[in-house]
Amino acid sequence: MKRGISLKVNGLVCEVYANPGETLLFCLRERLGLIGAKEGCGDGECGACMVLIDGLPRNSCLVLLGDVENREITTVEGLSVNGGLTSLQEAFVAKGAIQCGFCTPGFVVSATALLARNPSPSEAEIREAVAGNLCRCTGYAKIVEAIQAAACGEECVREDGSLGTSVARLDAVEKVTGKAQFGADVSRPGQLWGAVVRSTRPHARIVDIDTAKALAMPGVAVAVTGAELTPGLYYGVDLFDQQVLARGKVRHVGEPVALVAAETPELAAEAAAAVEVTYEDLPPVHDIDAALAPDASLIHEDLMDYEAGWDAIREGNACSATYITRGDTDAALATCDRVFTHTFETQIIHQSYIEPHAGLAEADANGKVTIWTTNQKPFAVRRYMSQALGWPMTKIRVIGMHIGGGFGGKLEMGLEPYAALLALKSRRSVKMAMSRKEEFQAANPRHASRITITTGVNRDMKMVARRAEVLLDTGAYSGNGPTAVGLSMFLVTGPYRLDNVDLSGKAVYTNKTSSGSCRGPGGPQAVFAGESQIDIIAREMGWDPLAFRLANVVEEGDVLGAGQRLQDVGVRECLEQAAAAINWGGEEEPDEGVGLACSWWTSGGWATSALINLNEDGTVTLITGAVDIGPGAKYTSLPQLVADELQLKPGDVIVSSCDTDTSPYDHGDGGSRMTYNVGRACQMAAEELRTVILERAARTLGVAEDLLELVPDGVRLLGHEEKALTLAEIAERGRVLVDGPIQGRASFLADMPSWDTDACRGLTYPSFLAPSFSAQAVRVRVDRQTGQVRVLEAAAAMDVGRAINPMAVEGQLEGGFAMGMGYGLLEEVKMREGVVINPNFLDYKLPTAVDMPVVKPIIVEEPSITGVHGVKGVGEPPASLPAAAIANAVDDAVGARLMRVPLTQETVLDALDAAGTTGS
Amino acid sequence: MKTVATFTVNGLPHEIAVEPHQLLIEVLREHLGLTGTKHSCGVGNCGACTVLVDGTPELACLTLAMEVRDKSVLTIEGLAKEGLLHPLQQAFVDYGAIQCGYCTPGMILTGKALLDDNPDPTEHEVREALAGNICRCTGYVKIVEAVLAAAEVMRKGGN
Repeated sequence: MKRGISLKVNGLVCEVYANPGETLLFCLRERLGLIGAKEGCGDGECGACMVLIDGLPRNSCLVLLGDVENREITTVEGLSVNGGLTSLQEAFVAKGAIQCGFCTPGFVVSATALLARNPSPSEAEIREAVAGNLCRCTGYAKIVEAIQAAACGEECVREDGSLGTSVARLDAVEKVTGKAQFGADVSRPGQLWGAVVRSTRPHARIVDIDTAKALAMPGVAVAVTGAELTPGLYYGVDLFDQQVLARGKVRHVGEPVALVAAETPELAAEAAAAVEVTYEDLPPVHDIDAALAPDASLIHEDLMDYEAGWDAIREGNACSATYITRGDTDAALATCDRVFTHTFETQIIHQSYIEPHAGLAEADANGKVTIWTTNQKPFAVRRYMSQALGWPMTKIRVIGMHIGGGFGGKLEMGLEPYAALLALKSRRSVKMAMSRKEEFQAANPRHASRITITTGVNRDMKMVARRAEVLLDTGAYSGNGPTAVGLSMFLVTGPYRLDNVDLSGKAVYTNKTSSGSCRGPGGPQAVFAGESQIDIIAREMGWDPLAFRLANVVEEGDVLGAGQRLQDVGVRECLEQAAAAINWGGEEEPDEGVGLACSWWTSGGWATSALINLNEDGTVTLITGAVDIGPGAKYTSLPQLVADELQLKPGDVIVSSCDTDTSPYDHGDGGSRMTYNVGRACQMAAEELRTVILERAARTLGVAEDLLELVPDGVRLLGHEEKALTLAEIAERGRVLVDGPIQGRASFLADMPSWDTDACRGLTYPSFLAPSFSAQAVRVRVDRQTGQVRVLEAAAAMDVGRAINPMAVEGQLEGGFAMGMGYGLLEEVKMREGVVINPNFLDYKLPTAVDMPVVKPIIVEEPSITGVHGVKGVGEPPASLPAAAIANAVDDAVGARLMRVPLTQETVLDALDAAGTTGS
Repeated sequence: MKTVATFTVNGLPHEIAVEPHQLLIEVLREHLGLTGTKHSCGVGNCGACTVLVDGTPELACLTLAMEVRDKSVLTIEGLAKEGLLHPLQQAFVDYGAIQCGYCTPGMILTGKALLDDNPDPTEHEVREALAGNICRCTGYVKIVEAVLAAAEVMRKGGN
C-alpha cells in the first residue's frame, strides 16, 4: 500500500508517495533521478548500489524505504559539493582507477566511509573495506592505489599530454560523480517495464502460448509472442540460426518465448510468470559427446539451410567444422624422439560485467523505434533487428550509452528487439533490464571446451609437430562459436615455430545456454591446453619451461596460424621480462611454485569511419560511431591521436556518443580493435582536417602551403615565432566569409595479412591482423590441507606495439589478469539439465580486491608496421594466459597436474590425493 | 501537503500524489511523460495546452490537477489508436495544416470537441471554435480546411 514517505537524501528532505516495501535503490533511481547508485545484481553481492545510511555503507538494493524514513542517506551525487570533486574522486580520475565506471560510484562510497573512520588505512585494510565491491575491469590495482593516494593526501594531477603519456580518461569525471548514463539510466515519465517469458525446458516443442491470464492482470499493457512476428527471418553472427522469439521449439532453458510490459517491474515479472506455455519435451542433448553421438537428437533440423557468412562446413549437431594443415604431421611425429598426447577441459564462465543488459525503447508516431542501450555494436544491433524483424533501417535508431563492462557479452543482441517490440505495440516507452539470474541463464557466456593435443619433440628441445582437436560447446545457437573455434586453433599451437601442424575444430550445438564472445573468444581454452602441455613436456624431458619456450618461439618472418608470415614479433622479450619479474629460477619456499604462459592474438579488424569538425573556438569535435566498453580507447587513445595530429590537447577534443542516425559507421567495440582501427580512421580524418586548415590558411595569407606549419592552436609561417592565424580565426573565416565550415573525414577497413588458402578450410577469420604477443608469469602457494591456491605475485607482459596511453594499457594487463585468474581458480557456470544452478554472485565467485595479488604490468613495444603509430590491439589477450600460468605453477609447487579449469580447492585436493602428496 | 488523486488519462487509470496547487499540465508532462500538451503562455490565452476533460476542452495551464479528480482526461497522445491516426490528425497531415507543430495538439483537440458536438460545422463555426487557439505559422487557412475535411470523413463513418 503506497503512502507518503519522508526521506533525507544528500541533505535535502523529500517526500515520495511509494510502497514502504520498495527498495531504496529503486526509489533513488526511478523516483528521485539519482542514477549514481547502480543495480548490478539485486542480491547485495556486487556493491554497485552502495550508499551511506547514517554514514555507514549499505547495499541499497537490500534496504527498504520504510526502514530509512528520516535517516541520513548519502549517494555518490552527495559526496562532492559545488561541482568539484573530493580528493578521493580526484585520485580515482588521475590514477586510472576507472574503466567502464559502472562499479565506480559504489567503490567511491565504500572508500569514503573507510577514510571517514580510518584516515590512514593500510593496503590490507583498503582491500578489506572494498571487498564487498566487485570490479570486473581493473583488477583492483589502480582502485587501491587511488584510495591510498587520497589517504596520504597525495596531490593527484591529471595529465593532458601527448601520445605515449597517461592522459586521464575524458569520461572519468562523469563516471566518478555518478552522472554517466548507462543502459538502465534512461527513464521516461510514464514508462512501462518489459519482461521476457523464458523457456523452462532445454529442448521441447512449443504446443501453445496463452497470454490471456497475464493480459487480464490490472496494469499489464501488452504481450507479444513469436506468432506475431514475420516468419522465416533469422539472424546470427556467423550463421543465421536464431529467431527473436522461439517459434515451433525451444532449444535451451532461458530462451525467449514471449514478452510482456506492465506498469512496474514487479508487475511485469508477475505477468511473465502468468503467461502459460505448453511444451512437449524432446530428448535433450547436454554435452559435446551426446551431441556428436551418431544417434543424437538434432537440435537444428534446418542447419544445412541456414544462411552462412562464410564457406561453412557443417553436419549433424556441429554448426561449424574447421581445419588447418601445414607440413606433414604424421610423418613428422613418426620421426620425433618423444610424442605426447593430452586432453584438457575448460568450463563455461560468464563475462560478469557488473552492469546487466538494460535499455529503453520508444516508438514515434511513424512507428520508428529508438533504443537507448548498452551494447558493444549499436550498428550491428540495427542490422540484426532489420534482418530478424524485417524492419527497414529507417525504422530503427540505436543510441549507444555508456557500457558497464562488455567483455564480448554485449556483442550480440540483448534486450533491444524485445524493448522495441513492446514499445511499438504499446506506443509507450518501455524499459528493460536483465536480472543477474537471467544474465547467467540467458546471456552469451564463454564456451566450454575439450581439447586434445599431440606434440612431438626432439631431444634438442625443438618442437617438431603438433596435432590438436578443439571441440567447443556452443550451446543452443552458434553465436560466435564458428569464429571462436578458429581462434582457438590459431592459439593452440602457441607462438611457436612449427613446420607441421594438423588442427581440427568443431563448434557443437547442445541444449545449453548459447555461448558467445568472451574476452579473447577461444583463447583461454587453447592457451590452457597448449601451454599446460608445454610444461608437462618440459617436466617430463627435464627442461626448464622458460628455456623450452625460448627455444621454440617464433621470430620475424616465421609462419604461424593458417600460413601467415609474421612481422614485428615481441614474444621473446615478453617471456624474458615476465620471468625475470617474478625471479624465475630463484629460490622457492616450500609449496610455492612458478609458472609461465605465452600466447599471441589478433588486433581485430572490421570497418570504421570518422568525422572531425573544427569548432569556432579552435577546438574539434570527433564524431564516431564507436562505443566504449571500459578499456577507454574512445576516451583516451582516440582523442590523443586526433590531438597529436592537430597540435591540440586531448581535452580540446569533444568525443560524440554513438547514434546510428547521426554517427558515421563503426563495427563496434570488441576484438581488441579500437585503437588499431578506429584510431587509424581518427588519425586519417585529423590528417585531412589538418590539410584543409593549412590550405585555407595559405589562401587567407596569400602564401604557399609549404611555407606554413601547424602549431598549438594555430598556424605560423616557417621560421616565425608568432602565429599568423589562430585555429579559431581559420574556423570563423570558413563559417562567415568563404568556403564554409571545416571538416576532416575518413573511412578505414584494414587489409588482412595474406594466408595460405590451401592450408585451411572453414575458417571465418583466417589471419591475425598486426598480431600482439604476450607472456605472463606467476608465483603461487598451495595449501596442501585445503587445496587453496594463492597467487602471490604475477607479471603480465605484452607486446602492444606502441602504448598510446600507458596507464590505460596497464589497466588492461591488470584487469585481464584478474579475469583470467577468476577463470583459472574460481569461476564456473554450473548447469544441471540445462538449468544454471549458481546464477548469482554468491555462488559464482569473482575475484575481489582481497583475492588479487600485485600484478606487475610490463609493456613491451615492438611497433607494428601497419598500426597507427605502431599500435597493436591490447584488450583481450591478458585474460587468456593466467589459467595456464597458474596451473603450471601449481604443478611446480606441489606436483599436481590439473587437466581441467577451474582449479578449485576440491580439484586441487583430488589431484594432490592422486599424486599422493596431500597434507593430511 | 500532497494528496492522492485518481483520474483517467487516455483511458488508463492513474493514482498520483499531488500538491493542491499543482497544475494539470505539470502532472501530464512531468509525471506522466505526456509532452504533447504544450506550455506557451501560461495564462490561458493561446490554447496550446488544450486537453479534453470529460469531452470538454479545458486549458491544462489553468486547471488544477485536483480539479480533474475522478474525471477522464484526453490528451493528443490518446487520439491515435494502435498507430492509426484519428481523422483529424490525418487531415492535418494531408492538408498541410502543420508547420512548426507546436499549436497542433491544442488545435486538434479543440477541433475534436467541436466535431463531437457538431459533426457538420460551417467554416464560420470552425473558425469560431478555434478562436481560442493561436497559430503564428499557417494563417489558419489549411487548419480550417483540415477540420472541415475531417468532419466529412467522420460523417461518412471514418473512425
